Amino acid sequence: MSNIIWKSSAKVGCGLSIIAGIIAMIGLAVYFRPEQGAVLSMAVILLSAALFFGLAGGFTQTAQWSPKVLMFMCFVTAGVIIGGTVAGYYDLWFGGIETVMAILIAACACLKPVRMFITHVQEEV
Amino acid sequence: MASADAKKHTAAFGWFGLLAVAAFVVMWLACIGADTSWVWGSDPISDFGVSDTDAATFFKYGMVLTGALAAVFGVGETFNKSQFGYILSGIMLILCGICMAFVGVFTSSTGDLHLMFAYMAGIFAAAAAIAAAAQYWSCGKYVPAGITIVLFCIAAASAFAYDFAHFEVIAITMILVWLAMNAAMTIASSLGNKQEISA
Repeated sequence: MSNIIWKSSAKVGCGLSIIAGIIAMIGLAVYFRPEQGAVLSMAVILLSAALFFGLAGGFTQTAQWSPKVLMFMCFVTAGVIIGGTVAGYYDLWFGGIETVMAILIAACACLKPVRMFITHVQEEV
Repeated sequence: MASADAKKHTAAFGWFGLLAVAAFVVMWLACIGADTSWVWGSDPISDFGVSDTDAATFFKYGMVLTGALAAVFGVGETFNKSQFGYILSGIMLILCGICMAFVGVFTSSTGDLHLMFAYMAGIFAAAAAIAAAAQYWSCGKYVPAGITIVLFCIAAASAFAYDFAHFEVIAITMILVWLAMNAAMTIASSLGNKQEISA
């Protein structure tokens, strides 16, 4: 039973991360502008997509990160999203949606079942 | 002996941190009310110090008061905590408080002297936040450490995106939020310890 809870919690975190990454890629397409001045905005949106997809990998059975590093990267991703929104790199709506996603993902990473899932599988390997 | 007495009043020292935040916010609002020509994001806060209105007086005494309160909070952190990160954070807060007081005394009309103390206050505040966040993480307090990381990222992003005046107000706001969180955690942890002892 506990193993099911562990897997479900990790699946939720992984799913949210993938969805947030897809939203970021959609944002890259929606807010694309063929101007030299828009390169920085495009780069920051692409950075957020890369971070979210990386987080998705962190919630898997053979995660590349330990649970502590996963939590750290969640907070860094949330910081990049919120900081980018405050700095004006992201549109307010896009930034708001991604901020909510980042906070939910960080909450998943802080859950004990998720940490147990990642640690348990790493011990078995 | 002095350290033991300080530990008994951990919560009191924590309240100095909250009072420092409140003092700065009140000073800021009073200055905005007194000098209506100040524009958020366009003018630096130091412009209040050279204002022709009462804002100059509010800024001077407000910065000295805020610096003193922050320094006292830093003293509490240095003597009440045993971990290196918290002690270093407390020392940085003491230095930041001293520099903030000098920022109020030496206004922007003094030129480089004011700039030096203003930059040092910012650097010491950032160092205090980083040291505290590292110790939070080491102690397993991941959420406060994460909040500090997010606040730091917001300040860093605004440094790249905006000019100095705009970045300054955002960075100061982030520091105030962190200081309030740190002080609240100090108060809460000291109350928790007292309940354990009484039980």
